[in-house]
Order: sequence, then structure tokens, then C-alpha cells
Amino acid sequence: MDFFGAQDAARRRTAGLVVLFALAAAGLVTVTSLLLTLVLGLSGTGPAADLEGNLTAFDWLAFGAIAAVVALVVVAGSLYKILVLSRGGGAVAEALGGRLIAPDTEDPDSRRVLNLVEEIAIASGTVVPSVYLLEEEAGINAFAAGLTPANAVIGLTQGAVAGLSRDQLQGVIAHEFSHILNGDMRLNIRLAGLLHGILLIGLIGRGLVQAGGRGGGRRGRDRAGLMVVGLGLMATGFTGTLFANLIKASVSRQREFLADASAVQFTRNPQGIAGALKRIGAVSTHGLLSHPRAPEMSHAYFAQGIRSLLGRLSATHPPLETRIRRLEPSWKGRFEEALEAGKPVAEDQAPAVASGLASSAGDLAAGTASDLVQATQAAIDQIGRPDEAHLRYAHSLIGDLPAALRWAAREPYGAQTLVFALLLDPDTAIRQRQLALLETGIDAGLGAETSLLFPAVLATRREQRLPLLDLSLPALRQLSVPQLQGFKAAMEALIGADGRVRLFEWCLSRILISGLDPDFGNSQRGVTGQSDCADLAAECTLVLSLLARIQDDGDAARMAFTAASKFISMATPRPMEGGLIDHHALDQALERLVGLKPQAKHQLLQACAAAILADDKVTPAELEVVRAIGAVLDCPIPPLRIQGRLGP
Amino acid sequence: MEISTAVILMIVVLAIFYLVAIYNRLVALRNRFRNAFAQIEVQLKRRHDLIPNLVEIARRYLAHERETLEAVVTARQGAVAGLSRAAANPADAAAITGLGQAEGALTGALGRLNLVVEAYPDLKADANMRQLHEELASTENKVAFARQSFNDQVMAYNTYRQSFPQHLVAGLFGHGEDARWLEFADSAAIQQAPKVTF
Repeated sequence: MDFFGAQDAARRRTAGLVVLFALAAAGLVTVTSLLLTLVLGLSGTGPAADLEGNLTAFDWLAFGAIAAVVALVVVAGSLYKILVLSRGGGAVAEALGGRLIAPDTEDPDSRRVLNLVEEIAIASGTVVPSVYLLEEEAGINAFAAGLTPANAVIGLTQGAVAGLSRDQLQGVIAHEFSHILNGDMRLNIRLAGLLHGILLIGLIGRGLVQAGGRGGGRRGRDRAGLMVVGLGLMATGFTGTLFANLIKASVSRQREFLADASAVQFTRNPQGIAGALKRIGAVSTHGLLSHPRAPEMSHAYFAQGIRSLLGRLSATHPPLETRIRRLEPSWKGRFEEALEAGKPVAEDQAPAVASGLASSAGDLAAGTASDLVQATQAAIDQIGRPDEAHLRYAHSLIGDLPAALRWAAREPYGAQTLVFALLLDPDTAIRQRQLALLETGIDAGLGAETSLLFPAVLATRREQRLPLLDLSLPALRQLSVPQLQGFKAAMEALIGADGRVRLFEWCLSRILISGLDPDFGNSQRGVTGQSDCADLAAECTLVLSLLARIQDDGDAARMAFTAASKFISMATPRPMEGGLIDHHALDQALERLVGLKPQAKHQLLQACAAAILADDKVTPAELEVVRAIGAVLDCPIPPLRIQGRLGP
Repeated sequence: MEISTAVILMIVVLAIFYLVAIYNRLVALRNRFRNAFAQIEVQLKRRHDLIPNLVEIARRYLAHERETLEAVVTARQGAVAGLSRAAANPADAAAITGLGQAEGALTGALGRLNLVVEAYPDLKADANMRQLHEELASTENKVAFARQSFNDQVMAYNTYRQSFPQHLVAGLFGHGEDARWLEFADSAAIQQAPKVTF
């Protein structure tokens, strides 16, 4: 399934689930309220405290009031949880006891994990997520959390980091990335939220029973009342939770198969992920997590993370054996005890990579218009489902970067100077002005360090520059809020130093803003709208005019625009004429385009791809603009490839 | 069951939610400054790793300045110990203060070594020495930056903890103490050149 189809399907499924859950919640509220009304009536004062009398004089007003309270508990609990989980993956990871792996860690195991995550992120065209380590967990497991690709995090247990080989870890991380790309995050958050609301009834019941149990000075009758109410709430609440869990588990199991399949497509190495699953089967702790809050995220793990009370029925993950058989049909059913003795790969020394990338996107001869449309289709289909060629491309792209730049990208101070160095103008006079701005601005040392990095940045190939930015994002996320404000101000000063906003500068700041959210002044995260492209034709036309504008000449521009208009209906038959495109107008247009529904975003990005592929080549500048557009629209854009060529 | 009882129940439920939210926020803020400390730790470790090389090179030229060199070595040992204690629990105010003092002492010892180096042009011109110096300066920039980040996060935690109504319940939740800023205590003293007394 493609990225957009998956996003759409996730939304539809969510709608269906909300209905199911609403029914479950309504049933629960009714039963609970009925019980409470009866119990409170029975234990209430007054002479008519016998069952018969209460049943005949059933107090409908009280029933309504209690039902309202119970419903409020469920709804408030759900909303609260959804709100918390939407705050970003970092909050979720920390709630599970995760510790951020410092991007510049020198611990070899952690380094290996970070390198794998960097490669996979760049191959799939997202910013590099932060990685959390669950140090206390000996079981082999992993999770992904966060609402959008830009604020997602990856979490791994100590058992996984220490106990898996590089290939196996790659399979696990690719599986987690697939959850991000398949739109499972949003679904999971809704599910966890709804479940939490229902769970609360039971939790309150348990609280009451405990309070009744130790309530010192209270009268025995009160205490008994509390106990009865509490036990009743526990019974109904936990029954409700059980059924809700069954619904959740059945959805979750399907998503696991999909993520496994996507991970194999990504790495082309079924042995990696199958090996990881076999290791989980072999170690005594399996994938089990011990943190008290682990059940909240049970659906997001790589393997079953909590004991399933009802066996397969309530398991959030399919049995290991079934998953392994799907990956390796010939498997004999024996879990592997020991790590196979892989040769140690020194991290940071990228193994030699075949330079010629095999063509798998299609050996289409782009001669006729319809072939070109097909080729574009093939290229855009890569969005959200990167494959092995992208991975190798990312690997070589990172491997070719000078060590000085890679190291700078890994800690906050260096990452800042790296972004500044990317923004320095090749023109000496302007550059001097920019450096002077830096030195008088936040920190005198920054100017000096930036000019030290500049020659190395200048020597990189153009297509390596955005990956450099992607690599520096985990470190930049560690800036405190005041530091981030200083950084933002300095960045804007550098961009404005020559009195205009160059295209690269615009792309860079868009990608940074989406990756540094939410402290970076970007509030519109994770929004998906209902609009069609036709509703926002003017905005679409502006964006595509920009892509036409960066072609070599007028003919190429018209060709690009015409190619794009095969996918989307334009407001004007021709690219917009006139002077420079105002970047404020562009920003505003993109902000409105965030309100497109997933399929409409797909259509728009297809049109963008068609525009840049119209002349049968993809330049880094074109790719940068599409990446920036994708960043605003929350769509990862892998290095687009046509006819087996990747990028330029 | 009266309407008023229902209203009271609702208020109780909302209050519980509010308390849970406060608790979670306190934990999140504490995690954040703990993570920020990891960044300081990496940079300080790097600084500590550079110093033995510096001392090694300086020793070749500074046969008569044993004391200054010994002071640097001792101060480094103190700083290494202080770092591992603080890294174990960055919320421990005493450990953070200790680290601040140890790092301050190290900076002081390095400052005195620098003054001595000024008097030995050969040493100052040594290629290795110059490179080490540059790396140390760069690492110190990074330490300062990471420290600022840590202190910002500590301040966010302390401010939240002390505000109404959180301060009423923070103690119950195990967040009764302010976290300590990391300050390299006597960095002001280093600015003053060593006092010469007669």
C-alpha cells in the first residue's frame, strides 16, 4: 500500500473504530450507572432501603446524573490521553522510562543504532528522529511514537541494542519506520486514548476499594458502601477494558504484518528481521517490558511487549512463529540461541557501496507522454515506501560526507554552526557581513567555528546538503527554548543578510521548522484536512509555478507546467508570470495546502514530481523544493528516482 | 442522589485529572534536564580526555613547572570524579555543586598553566600544542553551550515546581527540591590573575 492510501485507510479505520468504541463506552456507561444508582439507592438513608422499593421507585434523575458523570470520566480520560500522546514521541518515550541517546554518543552499540536510524531516515526522506534507549529493559523490543514523521521518535530496549546484530537491528528499525510511514501512529494514538477513558472506570473502582480497605475512622457502613461501589466499578470497568483491548489487539495484529512486509521491502533482507524475531523467541525475557506504564503503548512495540491474558485473542502482535514463517517460509521452527558471529563492522567507516544503482523503479523508456506519466507515477509511488536502493543511496551519501561535518552534526553547538555554514554565501563580501552578524549576535565563538566549517560545506555536493541538515536535527532538538530562539534569530539574520531569500534558504528553513516543531513556532502539526485540490487551485498553481520557474528556460518551464497540469487542474493555463515569487505568499499558500486530504496531497505531489521530471532529469534544487513542500505537508519525500537513476 | 452530589463528583474527577497532569508534567520536565545533562557529560568527558595530552606535551618543555602541571592533573582527577557522581543523578543538588566546583578548579589550574605557557615561546609555537589548544577552546565553547541548555531546562523545572498550585503538591509527588544550576563556581576568581603576596 502506498503512503497516501495507507494514511487514508488509517483514517477510515479510525472512524470505524471510534464507532465501535463509542458503542462499547455507551454500554459501559449504562451498566455502570445502573449499578451505581442501585447501590447508592440501597445504601442510601431512608426507611425504604429494600431492593423491591428501590426497583419500583427507580430514580431516573439520579441515573441521568450518574450517567453524565461516568460519561464525563470516560470522555475526559480519552481526550486527556490523546492530548498527551499528541505532544510528541519524546513525551511518550520518557513516560516509558526512555533516555535520549545523545546524538554524539561514543558508546559503540548506541552509535550503531544512530547510524542505522540516520540511513533509514534519509532513505525515506524524513528528518532523522531522536532515539531513546530503555535502559532498564532486558527484553528485546522497540517502538515508534509521535504523531507525524517530523516529531516521531524511535525507542529501543537495552536488550535489543545489545543483543541483536546490525542486520537484525536494521530490520527492527525499518519495521518501526514502517509504522511511522504507514500512518499507524495516528491510529494508535486514538486507540490508546479511547482505551484509556474506559480503563479509568476500572482504575477509579480500584482506588475506591483501596480507600475503603484502609479507611480508618469511617463508619463500617460507609466503608462497605465504598467497597461495593468500587468492586462494581472494577468489574464493569475492567470488563469494558477487556473488550476494548480485544478490538485494539485485532487491529494491531494486522498492522504488524504490514510493517514486517514494508520492512522487508525496505531492506531487501528478510533474514534481518526474521533473525531478530528468532532472537526474541530464544531469549528468556522475549520482548516483555517491565515498566509499569508499558501496557499503554502495547500496540506500538516491535514484538509482544506485555503478557497477553487471553492468549492469541488479546495479543497485540501475531505469534512469533507466524511472523517468521511469513518472512521465511522454509523456517524449521527453531529459535536461535546465539548471535551469529558477524564480522564487526567499524561504524563510521561505511562499507564499500556499489556505485551504480540497480533500476527497480522501472526500465521505462521515457519517450512518449504516457510513458512519462507512468514513470512519474512510479517515482511518486516511492513516497513512504522507500526500498533497498534508497537505503544504499543514503548509506553512500552519508559515507561520503567529510568526518568533520558528520561530527559537527552530532552535537548541538556544532549542528548550529553547520546550519549557519550551509547558509553562508559563496560571495565573499556578503559572507563577511554574515559572519560579522554572527559574532556580534549570540556567541562570539559561533562565528569562528562557522567559518572553520565553511570550506568543508562548500566542498560537498549539492545533493548532500539537505541530508546534512537532516542529520543535524536530532542535535538541534536538544537546544533549550531560549537557545532555540537565539538560533532562529541568527538564522533569519543570515538569510536576510543579502536582502533577499534565496530558494535554498527558503527550503532549508521550511525543513528545519517542520523538524524542530513544536518549539519552533509551527503550530499546525498533524493536521489533515478535508479539502480537494480544486478547492485550493490558486495555491496549487502557485506552488507548481515555483517549480516551473526553476527550470532552465521558458520552454522547459512551460513543459514542466503542462506536465503537472495532467495531474491537477490549474487556476491558470500558464505558470504565473511576473517578478519574483514572494516567499510569504508561498508560505501562506502551503499553510492552506496542509488542509488537503491525504489523497489530494498525493495528487499535488504527483503534479510536483511530474513538473520536475518533465525534462527527464531531477536536479538537486528541484528535489530540495519538493522536500520542503513535503516537509510542510508532512509527507516524506525520498530521493526521487526515474528510470533507475536516483536524483541527478 | 442529588444533582449537587453529581456536581461534586464531577469536580472531584476533574481535580484528579488535574493532579495527574501536574505529576506528569513534573516528571517530563525533570527528564528533560536529565537529558540535557547527558550533553554536558559528553563534552566534559571530551575535555577531560584532551587534558592528559596537553600535560604530556607541556611536560617536555616545562621541566621546572612541575607544580603547575601536578595541579592540572589533580584538578582533572577531581573533575572526573565529580562528573561521574553528577551523571549518576543530575537532580542531586550536592553532586551538581560538587561538579561545578571541581570544573571551576580545573579551569583555574588550566588558566595558570596557560599563563606559564606564555613564558615559553617554543612550547607556545609547538604544532601539537596549538592544535590541542584550539580543540580545548572549541570544547569549552560547547561545554558552555550545553551548560546553558541544562540551566535553561533546570529553570523551567524549578519555575513550574514553585508556581501555584503545583508547589502545594510537588513535595508529595517526590519533587520537593529545586534542581541546582550548574555553575563553574570560581570562574570569576580565575579572571583575576594569581595574586602575588609579599
